Amino acid sequence: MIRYIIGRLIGSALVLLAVTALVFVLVRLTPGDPVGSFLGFAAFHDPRQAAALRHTLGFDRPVAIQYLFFLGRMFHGDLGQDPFTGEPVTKLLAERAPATLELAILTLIFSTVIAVFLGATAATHRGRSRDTLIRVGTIVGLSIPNFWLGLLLLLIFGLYVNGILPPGGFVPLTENPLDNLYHMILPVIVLGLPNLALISRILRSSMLDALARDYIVFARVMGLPERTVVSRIALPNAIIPTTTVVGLLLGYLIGGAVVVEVVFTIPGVGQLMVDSFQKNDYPVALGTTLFIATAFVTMNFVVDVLYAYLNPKIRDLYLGQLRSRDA
Amino acid sequence: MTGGVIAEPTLVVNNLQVGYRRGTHLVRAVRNVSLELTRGEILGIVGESGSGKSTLLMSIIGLLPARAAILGGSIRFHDTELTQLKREEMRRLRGVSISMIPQRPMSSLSPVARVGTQLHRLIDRRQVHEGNRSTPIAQILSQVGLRAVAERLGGYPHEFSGGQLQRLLISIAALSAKPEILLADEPTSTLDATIQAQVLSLLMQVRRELGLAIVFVSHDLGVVAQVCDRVGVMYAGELVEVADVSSFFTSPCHPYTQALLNSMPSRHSTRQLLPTITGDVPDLANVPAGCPFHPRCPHAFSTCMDTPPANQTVGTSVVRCHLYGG
Amino acid sequence: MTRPVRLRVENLSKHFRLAKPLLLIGPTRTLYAVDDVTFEITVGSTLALVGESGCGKSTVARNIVGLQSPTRGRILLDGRDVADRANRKAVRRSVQLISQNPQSSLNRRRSILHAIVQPLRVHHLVDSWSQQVARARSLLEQVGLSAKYLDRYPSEVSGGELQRVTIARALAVEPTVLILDEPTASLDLSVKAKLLNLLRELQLQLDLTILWITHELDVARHVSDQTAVMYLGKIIEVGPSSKVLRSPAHPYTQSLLASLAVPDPSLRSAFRPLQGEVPSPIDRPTGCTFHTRCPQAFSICPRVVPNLTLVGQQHLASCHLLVPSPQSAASSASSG
Repeated sequence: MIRYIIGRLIGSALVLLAVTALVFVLVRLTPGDPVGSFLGFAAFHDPRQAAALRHTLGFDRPVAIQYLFFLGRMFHGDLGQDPFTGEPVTKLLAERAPATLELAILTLIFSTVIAVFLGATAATHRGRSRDTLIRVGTIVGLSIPNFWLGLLLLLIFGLYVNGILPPGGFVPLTENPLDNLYHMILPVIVLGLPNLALISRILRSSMLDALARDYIVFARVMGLPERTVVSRIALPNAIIPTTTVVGLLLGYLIGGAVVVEVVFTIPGVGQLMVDSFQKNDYPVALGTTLFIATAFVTMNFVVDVLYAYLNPKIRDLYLGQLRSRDA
Repeated sequence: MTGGVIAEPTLVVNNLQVGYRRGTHLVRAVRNVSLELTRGEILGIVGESGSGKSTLLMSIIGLLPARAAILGGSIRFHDTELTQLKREEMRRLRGVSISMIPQRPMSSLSPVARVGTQLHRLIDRRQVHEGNRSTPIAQILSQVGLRAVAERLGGYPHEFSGGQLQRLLISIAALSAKPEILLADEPTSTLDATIQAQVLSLLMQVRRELGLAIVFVSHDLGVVAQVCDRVGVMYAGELVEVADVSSFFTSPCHPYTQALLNSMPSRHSTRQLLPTITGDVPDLANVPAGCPFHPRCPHAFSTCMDTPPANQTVGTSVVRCHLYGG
Repeated sequence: MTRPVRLRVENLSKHFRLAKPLLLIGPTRTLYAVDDVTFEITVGSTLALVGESGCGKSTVARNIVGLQSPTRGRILLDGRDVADRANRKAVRRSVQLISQNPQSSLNRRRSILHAIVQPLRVHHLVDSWSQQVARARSLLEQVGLSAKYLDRYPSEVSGGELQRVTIARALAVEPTVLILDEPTASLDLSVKAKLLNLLRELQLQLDLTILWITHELDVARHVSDQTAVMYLGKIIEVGPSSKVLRSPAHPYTQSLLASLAVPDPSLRSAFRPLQGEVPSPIDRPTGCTFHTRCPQAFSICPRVVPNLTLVGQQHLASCHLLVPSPQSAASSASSG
């Protein structure tokens, strides 16, 4: 098991390194000139100032060298400064991160818990009305674009039905937990709906698979009540393939968070990222993208380890791995 | 001790009919099957695929799949009519009075939970009143000589061999609650010969010690010969012959039984071509009229084609065949 | 008149190295799937390879067919080494494998016609499509199936018939050697009898040399001329089937026969199960690997690996009991 964890850790670290390089290059390739947007028209009038700024920012060096400098600084905890405000990028990230993390975690919990319940119900009532209802509902949930849903809900609760739910905005957890959660309700639903739909379908499918297995027959033969058979025997088996899917969906969660933050005006990393790209704010753009990438890789790592932990066969298989090598 | 008191049968199946839905058709998998099982006896049921033998077992234990249903007849366990029981009542009998051992031991326990935990969960509800949970299982296992396995219950199913698991499951199914009937559907077909011998030996031991009545379904005539007291043969959903084991093997009555026994390699010298039965086993949805075996029977005559034969008694056997009258 | 040797397996060994549990610490563990196996089959005859699961018989099959390459030893087909590059194409055609489960040997999504025609195309045996179809038809006929089956898919065909299809497919390339790995294990009794008859007829018609791998001793007795018994990767007894499977010399074979469920109720008292489990092929017992379960093991057994010794005409077994050596004699005298 340790071997597996170390292996995954190294793998994740390498992925992160590759991601930093990729993001770095991509940000550099985005259209728009950072120097131009910072200096404004001054760049056109005074080429010397532009050139000087370019030199200060290191943009006149080859991209590869720039990257290496960046890496060096990154390992010292320095992600540069926001050229517009002068604030260190790390500080900005630290300020924005809690909101995004909270949104992501709440959505994960919300969608997973509800999905498990829905998926299990659909599986145990296969072919009957409950099952059909859930399956149709999930298709709808999967098909609705989240920004459209977000705007629609904002419209309804902001304009038409006043006073029930707040139309966006954010209250820090430390300030007022209840109010914070109150503001999170709509964003979490919007962000979580497609996830919920997908996970419940996967779970339904895994449950149906598990319920057809020999160990279920034997449990029933021994007279176990159906309740126990489903929740204590079938479900733990069905959860395992679902965790792999949950891991894959985490990517969506991060991406979706950006949109939801913008729609509901939540001061998170996603919103910061969108702003920075609009302004061609290189350091912040880079910093936020890296943050999101790191979060994603980390979450995947956790899911991988969780999967191995939950499935003892995989754990042991990895240890007793057979490699044919001619002696 | 006075002898001569004939024990009342533990299980009586009378004219059982079981069918299931396949598309728009109704497929009759068990047709008018009647049998009796007394305490301490091992009844073998042999048949090829599509003979309905597994459906018969599932009907007895009340675990027919959703598409299937008992269409008629009765299954009597002592004084209780099993076909009339509600689901919950039948569930209470399962594992306690009527038990079943699995065909594929390797996949009959959940792969993601420890064996010990699962065993406790499987027998917990009965042991609760006996207090200490761990004692019963350890006791059961050492009773049957599985102490080595008992020490490794913290492991997962995939860490055990098929033979160990099967012996474990048999012990739990048969000994944790002293059931009266044990059903076995090909319990050794996935096991090696030497391991199969150990498992069968355990089964016989359990039968001896508890007086269990066992229904042993198998397609392996060798196993049946070694273990059973009486043997029944199923063909196309019908029980065409029931005989005591020696009569079955030395003087079978039904042409199908005769042909089946005759096609065994061990009955012929090496390299000789084996006698076979022409044609194939019919699909249960398309069973021939009259006697289901008539298209393949070397002794068929006109009555066989349209009149279903009734049960005839021939010595100690019961045969469903026109050759014996009726 | 003895016929020439078609297939000869010489000192075949297949070992697997296992990954160490803790990164680099600990001894290397090796799995001895097949250990120094030697046998030969003459043209037109059948050798049964029997043993329980894990004994290595399927690994032997895989190595002969070329799905794996031996760690040591060699395989000779008509005197030519199978490992030789030059012989490879010819070997692929000459040796065909039929596996236990026909459902997994055939592509479920392709018709039976496609299954049979595929080897013809791979080996460029028949050119035109119409000729391929004609050949497929005649192959099906050879295995007793009508042309109706050409358009069917594996899911529409019963187990016994499907096994015939795999045989037809194997015969398409005109092999001289057939390796059958438990061909009748998943079949019903009456279907099994038909398949055994079919294989017998085909062997006579086409002069096939057959290696028949099975755990069913009654089948082995019926179909084979010679039998080799394997235990934990080694052949512990080999000889004419009439001897090996009726009056075996090796205690393991004896136990195997004793635990065989014979379809004769009057022979019940002879039913005697063997104790213990088959040891892991990774941690094999020392000396004679069977000594841990052998009812007749004595002092020398855990210490020295026995060699195959002649116990009858062309009948060999590896057991210390069979060798009247001074060592074993002295040991049995002191322990007796």
